[in-house]
Amino acid sequence: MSDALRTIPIEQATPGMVLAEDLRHNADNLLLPRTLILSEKHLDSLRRRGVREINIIAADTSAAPCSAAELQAMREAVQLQVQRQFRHASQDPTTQALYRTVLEYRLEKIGRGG
Amino acid sequence: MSTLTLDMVTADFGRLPAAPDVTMELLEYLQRDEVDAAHLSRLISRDQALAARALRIANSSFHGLQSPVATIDDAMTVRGLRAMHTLITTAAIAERLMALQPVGSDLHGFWLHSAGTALCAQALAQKANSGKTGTLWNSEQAFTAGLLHDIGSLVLATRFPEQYAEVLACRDANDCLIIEAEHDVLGFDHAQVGGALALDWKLAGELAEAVAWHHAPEEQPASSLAGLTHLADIMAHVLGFPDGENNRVPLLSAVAWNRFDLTWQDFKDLMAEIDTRRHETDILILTD
Repeated sequence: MSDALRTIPIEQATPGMVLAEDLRHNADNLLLPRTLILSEKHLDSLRRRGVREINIIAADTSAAPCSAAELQAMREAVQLQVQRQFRHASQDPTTQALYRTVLEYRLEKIGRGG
Repeated sequence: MSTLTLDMVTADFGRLPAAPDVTMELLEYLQRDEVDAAHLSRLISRDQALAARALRIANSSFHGLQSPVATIDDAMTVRGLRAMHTLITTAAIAERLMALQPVGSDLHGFWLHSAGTALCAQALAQKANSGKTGTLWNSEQAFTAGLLHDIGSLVLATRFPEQYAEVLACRDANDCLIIEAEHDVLGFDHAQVGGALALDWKLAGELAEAVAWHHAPEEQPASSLAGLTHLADIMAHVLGFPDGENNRVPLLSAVAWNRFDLTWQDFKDLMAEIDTRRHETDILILTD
């Protein structure tokens, strides 16, 4: 994934970008976790806290088409994120169907450039 | 196990901060069997902040309206007394809940999740109703249930911050679901507290039931709003309301899911719909 990592100033960050590293405040206070897909709210909050630059693993899809490596990195990030959300889920078929549905939805969204 | 009991929490409800007199009067009036539209409109006009909030909720929960309604009277005409009854009740309850400002907890995250669940519950109700006749879901009531489903957490965090901090510490130490940590530390959970508060505040019975059973909907009949609220809660989690390390999807009740005549493609379509309406949560977030 490291080949797609990019450090950008906060002014260039746009919603939909994916964080490459945990963002911490005073070393131990986690602000935003790695693989998070940034929203306008997150960006507002980072600006308010005076964060100057962030590490992302995806290009802004609206500005330029993603490279294959970037797309792959986004897919992996989404997969990790959904796995983490479902880390307490049971193995019963309905829950597994939900997991697959959510993952499909999120991956299709990347495919559509969203 | 903490020495706090559910009885101690419910006995403390009387000490929760009250809402302005107008709001309390309105809530009392709304509990009558017969409510008059003109009188309701007069009552709400005495509290402009409340009227504004009711209008925002009315516009937000009526997705698909060509142009937003601008006054309470217009809203009554367009949406009808039954819908406005629910939405004004929601706004008045919101007014009461805004007085709860827990220290040191993520209040913005709380309301984002609540608002997201409200949107999901309403969309689920409309989807489940489409093409059906007979008894339909009340989508405004579903919306309110979604907005209120976690009020028990808000009460615990506000009135019993020490014990609630223990719950959060337990969740983080064991990386478990909040409801499991509540059972471990307190021996009861936020759904029980919320259900009891809804009864104490004399909210509609189906709302109290939805709040109390949103983590165990299979214990309630299929027609209960608990099942719909349960699915909406899960949908809000998977849609990232809120995002972050502590977003753990609660356990899905297969019984609750199977009671709905929905396919996973329907679920996906609903996710896409809510995704395009994410910004609407902004106007429902009650931290100002």
